[in-house]
Amino acid sequence: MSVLLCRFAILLYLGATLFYIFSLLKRRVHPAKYATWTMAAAFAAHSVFMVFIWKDRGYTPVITIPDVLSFFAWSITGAYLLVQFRTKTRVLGISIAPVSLLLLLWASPGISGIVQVPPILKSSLVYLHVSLSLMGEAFYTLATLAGVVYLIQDGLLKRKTSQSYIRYLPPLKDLDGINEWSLVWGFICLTLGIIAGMFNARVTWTGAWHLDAKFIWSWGAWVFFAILVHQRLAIGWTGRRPAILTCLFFFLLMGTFILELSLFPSLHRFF
Amino acid sequence: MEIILVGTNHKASPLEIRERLTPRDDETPHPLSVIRKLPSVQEAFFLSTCNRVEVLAGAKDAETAGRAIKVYLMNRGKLTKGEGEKFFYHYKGEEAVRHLFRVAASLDSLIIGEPQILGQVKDAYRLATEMGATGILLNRALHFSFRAAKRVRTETGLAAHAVSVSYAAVELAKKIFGQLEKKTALLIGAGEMAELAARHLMKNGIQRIILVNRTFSRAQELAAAFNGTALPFSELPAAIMEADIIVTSTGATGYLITPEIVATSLKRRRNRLLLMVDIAVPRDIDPRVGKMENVYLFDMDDLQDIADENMKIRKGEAKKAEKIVEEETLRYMTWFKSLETVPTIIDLREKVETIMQEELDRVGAWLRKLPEEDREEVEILLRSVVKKILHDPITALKEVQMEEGAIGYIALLRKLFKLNKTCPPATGRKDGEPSDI
Repeated sequence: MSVLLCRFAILLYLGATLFYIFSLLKRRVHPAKYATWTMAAAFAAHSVFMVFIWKDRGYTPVITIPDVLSFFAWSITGAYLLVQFRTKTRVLGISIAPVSLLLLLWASPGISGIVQVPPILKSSLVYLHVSLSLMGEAFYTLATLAGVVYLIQDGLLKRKTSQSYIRYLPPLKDLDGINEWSLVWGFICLTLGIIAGMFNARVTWTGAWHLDAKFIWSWGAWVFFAILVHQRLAIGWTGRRPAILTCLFFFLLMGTFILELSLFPSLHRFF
Repeated sequence: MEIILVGTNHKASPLEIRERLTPRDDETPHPLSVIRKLPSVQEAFFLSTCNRVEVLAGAKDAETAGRAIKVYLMNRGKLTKGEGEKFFYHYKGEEAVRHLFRVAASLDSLIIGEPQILGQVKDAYRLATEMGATGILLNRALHFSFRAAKRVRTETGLAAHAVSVSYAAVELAKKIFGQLEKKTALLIGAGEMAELAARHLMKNGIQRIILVNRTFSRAQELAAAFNGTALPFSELPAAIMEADIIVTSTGATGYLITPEIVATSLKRRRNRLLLMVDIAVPRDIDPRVGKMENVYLFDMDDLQDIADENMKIRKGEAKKAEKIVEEETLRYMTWFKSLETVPTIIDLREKVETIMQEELDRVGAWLRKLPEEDREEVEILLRSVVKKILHDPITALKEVQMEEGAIGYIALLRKLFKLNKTCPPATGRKDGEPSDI
């Protein structure tokens, strides 16, 4: 049953992606409306699928790599849909739907079936830590995607050419608003996630402070986040500058994350 | 009865001819009531805009009515016979219907896709119904034309993009700010272009308008008209600080707004986005301003390019629109052809036959229990009842066929007995027309 649901969700994500591509090719916002609804359906199917897995296994499915990918896809879709229904910037979904589709596709082979979970991870604090951190990162990804589209639209408006694309992409103000909103919520989620992780570490690793690559990376991410939120809320940055910085930080984080995964051994790796 | 259309438009005649045909506001009797009384004219609709004067009529005889209307129009415009032949077109049946639909859908307009024409057609129709000049043929035709226009607007991009310079500025503003509510516009210079831009911005929800002009009294005048604030020229930097959209159109020879002025105010406006539209020639804003962060500057040439590009899109969309008009014309003609007496009688008989057969089938089990003769008796009885009920209406229909109002009877009959399955009901919803020309 859960495998079927997963496939169904993938199919719906694919449908949404195709609608978006069609709308881009035609440069008309109208088909993107269908894409949004297809994506909402995909999100619903994905949610039900996660509930099934959760019931099957008896714990929140955020432990294995496929779990994490699927949860990330789910979070980013949910966050995007929230934004969508608030601001009606339909076309932004063109950057979200393919991401969710690929992540879930990648996750799908290993996602069902029973996994032996190390006892060290069987704690509600761990689930909280992982899911909040992932949500924070999903929000951050959304902020980045909004930032990328902002920079594209900004460039088009400055160059004053290709009216059809200017007309097709969302207004700057909305994209800027999405970037800010995602940063604030992402920051809140990540902060709470890190706090939960710290508590858990205190309990399981009895207080010793490990200078681990992943810890440093998390703190780095948190500091970037904090800088961006500060510049936006306190200094009053809007528009191009925060968009650029968001993207820059994002790629920096992605790069170091991949580097860290491949180069450094970590206490914090379980699979 | 047939539908005809006689008239002239911007392609067929020069402006001075159309001017002579246009009725004055207080003209009595109204042209419509004169046309309605012309020989062979049974229904009439009169449309007069700056680009066209047209008469649509339901006529008993297309030739007689067409000639009478043409003569009437020629007399109105004091035209010679030769001029009349040259300037007026005369369409019959399907052609007339198609022309009406093209007009309502703004395919026949000077600037294709401009939205006012539909409103003008609707107003003219309202007047015609108030005067009782229209009947079943024209009512249906006009409702169909409204639907064709609506479909063209929703299904094609014919009317979607601004083709005027001042409206192109509003479109850009929407692409930057999304909603224009709660935004402040600053107009520098109080010329005609500024006024037009102000009107468009107001219509699109801008909250506040500030006016700055060398001649302060003129700024005050405009401010009063738009419910805005007038500021003296010395207050310009302060005004820039508050504004989200700036439109300049002064006659100044040098640059009024330099990067330095904008830079100081940008800092104090916390980097809010700023759209600047420079429609002055020579320009009022230093082009270097456009390179600044969060500032978007467009001059007259940029806006003209946008408008031109949009015009090209409209022309492309016109093909799709023509297809919709064709479909609606076909629908109307299908309905129109159903209004003949003989097919209506056949339809009516068929419908009643079907009902009878269905009822007989329904009680089939019971019928089979009856002896052979009784069964036949029942069917004969049923048939004779049906025949008698239908006899009078059908005879009456054949009689009125010779009279003027036959079409009304037929239409009513088709409606009462729901014989119009092939023809969807007409819709005549009212829409708020955006105006961008």
